[in-house]
Formats: sequence, structure tokens, C-alpha cells
Amino acid sequence: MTAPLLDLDALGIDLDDRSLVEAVTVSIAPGERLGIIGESGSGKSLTALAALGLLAHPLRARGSARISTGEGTVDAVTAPQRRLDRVRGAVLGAVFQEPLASLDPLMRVGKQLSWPLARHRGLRGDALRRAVLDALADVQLPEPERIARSYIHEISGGQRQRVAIALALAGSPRLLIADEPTTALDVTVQAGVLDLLQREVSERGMALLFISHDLPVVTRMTDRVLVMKDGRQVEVADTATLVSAPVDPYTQQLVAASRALDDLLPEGPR
Amino acid sequence: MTGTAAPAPILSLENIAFAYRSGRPVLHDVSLALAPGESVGLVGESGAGKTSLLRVALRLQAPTSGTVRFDGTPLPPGRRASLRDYRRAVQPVYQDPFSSLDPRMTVGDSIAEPLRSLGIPGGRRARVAALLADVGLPADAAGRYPEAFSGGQRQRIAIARALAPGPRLLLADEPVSALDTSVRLQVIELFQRLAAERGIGMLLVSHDLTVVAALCARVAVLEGGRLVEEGPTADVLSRPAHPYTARLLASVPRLPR
Repeated sequence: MTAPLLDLDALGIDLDDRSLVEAVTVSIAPGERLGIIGESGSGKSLTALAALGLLAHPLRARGSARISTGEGTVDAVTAPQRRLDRVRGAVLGAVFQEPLASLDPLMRVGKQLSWPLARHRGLRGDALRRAVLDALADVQLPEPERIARSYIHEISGGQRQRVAIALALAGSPRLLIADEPTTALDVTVQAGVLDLLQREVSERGMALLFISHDLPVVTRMTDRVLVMKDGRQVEVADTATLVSAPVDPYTQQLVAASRALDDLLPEGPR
Repeated sequence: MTGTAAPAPILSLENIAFAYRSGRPVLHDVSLALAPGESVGLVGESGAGKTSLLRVALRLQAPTSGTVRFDGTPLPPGRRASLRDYRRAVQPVYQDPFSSLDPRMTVGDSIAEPLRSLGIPGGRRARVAALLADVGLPADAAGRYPEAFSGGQRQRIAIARALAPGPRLLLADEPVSALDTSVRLQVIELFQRLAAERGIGMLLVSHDLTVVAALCARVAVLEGGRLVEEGPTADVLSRPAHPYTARLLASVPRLPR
């Protein structure tokens, strides 16, 4: 049994005296795709931020979030930011709902992408320029030269999210954390970005932590799902089992509502 | 519709073109009519012109060319008194219940607001209590502020306000998109009940085909400011004629069996 890439053990998150997330215990093995599903306010995004060591003061984590770096483990709950800086990008990559959160509006796309490529792969000059264009082509952006020269306000929402994905992948992370990465996108654009994420994860053998409020999207992207409600973990199960035989009453309700909506559309390819 | 002659439309949009000032046109020759009690879905992606068409229908924007008719009569160009009948009969519902309710007004005052602004006489307190009951909220909600309610409850409050003047048609812009799955289903059921019990029609703008399938017998597909397909929802969803409609349908994430 391989050591997990990310091991959350009794992870909790507090705001002053108030507990927002309580006792999340789950791990992700190399190459595994885990989903977290829950409604707004269920604590799923906070859990992802805690795993990345990105909780902002006054939010505080307790328990542990151990990240396997290949040379040892780092606990995102206790490790200093200096240590986590070396882990983020190289071991954990992250994509958020709003690509503008990770992109600089004042810097051309190519320049932004050259930073992590230079840092993680030690590239310079022509080799770096080529790597930037390759990275843009890899996320299936048309005309990589033009995109590289663009500022992000000059490209569409779907293209921005592809740039954010290229940025997250630049350090060849072993685990990609994607928090509602397609929620802000139109449905056809969403389909393209989900296809891209799926392909990147399988071709790179990368693990995936995929967070969403949308059960059909989560089932498409993951092997196993953690259900959260009001800051608590209510169920963890294989994705197929969760949908066909949910155990917890809340999960049952969530699956039933999603099923009722899905049944409104005619049978299609699944 | 079956073989009987169609009733006169309550709302008809005829050859509507629209461009924002100094911008390129966002709607091209769009025609769409709603019979009394009919619900029509208007689907398309961001930038397709859905919201612009709704704004034209709400008379928040005048079309660059074309006519909006209410009960067969073209809407007058003015904004105020001459539109009062239209404002009573046709009410908007918006996507975001957090921004569509004034946080400083009690729920009761918010719901009664259209009664006041449209000069509708009668006891407001009893009317508000009845409207709250219509949308499944307790009468004591009237004295509280929007912050005390969840997203789904706030959308019910916004619907109660839209129902206050006794409209025959709701113009709804993504009314359930911001809601979580189970709450979305409950609000859909509320709209279904309003349609079935009171014959309130709806022009529903959404990018979500599921919601349209739940609420609308007919669907119109907008792409790049043009209507590219229109027909009974069941037909369009099972046999989309336009490639864009087919792509839209194929993109919807489905739940495994």
C-alpha cells in the first residue's frame, strides 16, 4: 500500500471560538481522484484551503493535513509558510472557481506562466519561451503565441480558466486541487474544461481533489466522494456506490434531488 | 398546443433588434410570443442576448427596432403611468435573491412595495400574509429582515413580491441558478404550482436546460443574438435540429444510472 499523497486526519477549522469544519478524515492516494461535495457553507472550500496551508488569519486549522513530498511529509496545519511555498506548485497545484484569483491582470499571460516554469524546471531563454507555448498548447488554447501576448482581460472566461490550469500544472504537481473550477463557466465551456482536466489527470498520473456543489459534475470527475454538510463529513464512498446506494440521509436527499433534475432531460450518452 | 386556434398572446416581441449605445448589435430580428398562461424557456450562453431580450421585454431598454405588444397593443414609448397596467401584469424575478432584496427593508415592506408603487388599493398586511403563505413561508417572516433567511427562502420572498400585484406573466432571469440542488428543486416545484393553480405564465431565461425542461412547454434557443431554434421542449430536447442546441444538450453533465 503506497503512502497517501494527502492525509487529512481530524482536520478542523475554527474562526475565533466557532468551529466551521469538524473532524474531516480522508486521504488521497497517488493517482486517485477524490471529490468533495456539499452545499454553499458546508466547509468544502475551507477544507481545500487548509490542505494547501492557505487559510487566512483569523481562520485556524487543527488536526493534521499531511502532504507527502516524496522526501518526507509536511503538515499544512503546522508547517511554516516558507516550507509550504516549496510544496505548493511542485507537489500541490490549485485551480479555483474564479481564474482571476490566480491570474495577474497587469501581466501578459506568457510572462505569468514563465515564472513557475523557470522556478520549477530551471528553464531560461528560448527553452523557457518554448515551454510557455507548449504549456498553453497543452491546455488546448488556440494560437498559443497570441494568448501568450494577451492580458487576461483580452481572453474569454473559459480561456482564462485554461491559463489558470496551465499555471497550476507548471510545477508538475502530484495532486491537483480544483475548487469549483467550472462553476462560473457556460455549460459547453464547462464540458471542454472538464475534458481537459480529466485528460491531464490521467496522462500525468496526477491525483485530483475535485470540489463542487454539483453532483453530476463530481461523479464525472472522481472515483470516490466525500459528502460534507454544515462543516461535517457525513459520508465517504466510491462514486458509483454513493450514487446508487447512498447511506446517510443527507446524501440520500442530495442524490434524490439531483436524480429528479437529471430525469427531466431525455436519456443521453452518459 | 393542439389543433385549436391559439389565443391572442399576452406578450409578443416582434422583430426585435437591439444594440447598446455605440456597441455592436446584440439582438437581430428576434420574434417570440407568449399565450396567456404559457411558459417559454429562452436558453443560450452568456453573451447570446438572453438578458438583453428580457430587458427589452421588461421595458428597461427600448428596442433599436421592432415592437413589444402587451395584450395586442404596442407598449407606449413612455416609462411611467402609461405602463402601469403592464407592470401589474408582468413582473420580474431575478437570479440573485441576495441583491434583489433591500437589506434595510423588512420582508413585509419589500413584498408590499409593488402594491405601493403601482397604487394598488387594499389592506396590505393581510395581502402580505397571504403572499407569504403562497410561497410556503410563515406569516411572521413579514417582520424580519432578509439577512435572517437562507438563499432559497430569499428567492421565495422575491417571488412573493413578484406575485403581489397579481401578475399574469413572470419574466424570470436564471431564478434558480444561484440555489443549491435540493433548494433549486423546491423552488422549481413552487413555480410549477403557481402555473398549475393560477395559470401564471413565464418567460424563463436560463442556461440550464434542466430547469427549462421542468417549467416550460416551449423553448427558444438564442445564439449570437438570433433565435436558432424554437419548438415544444420535449421535441427540441429529444431531437435538437440546430447543431448549437445539440451541443448545448450534449454538454449537460449527467448522473450515472
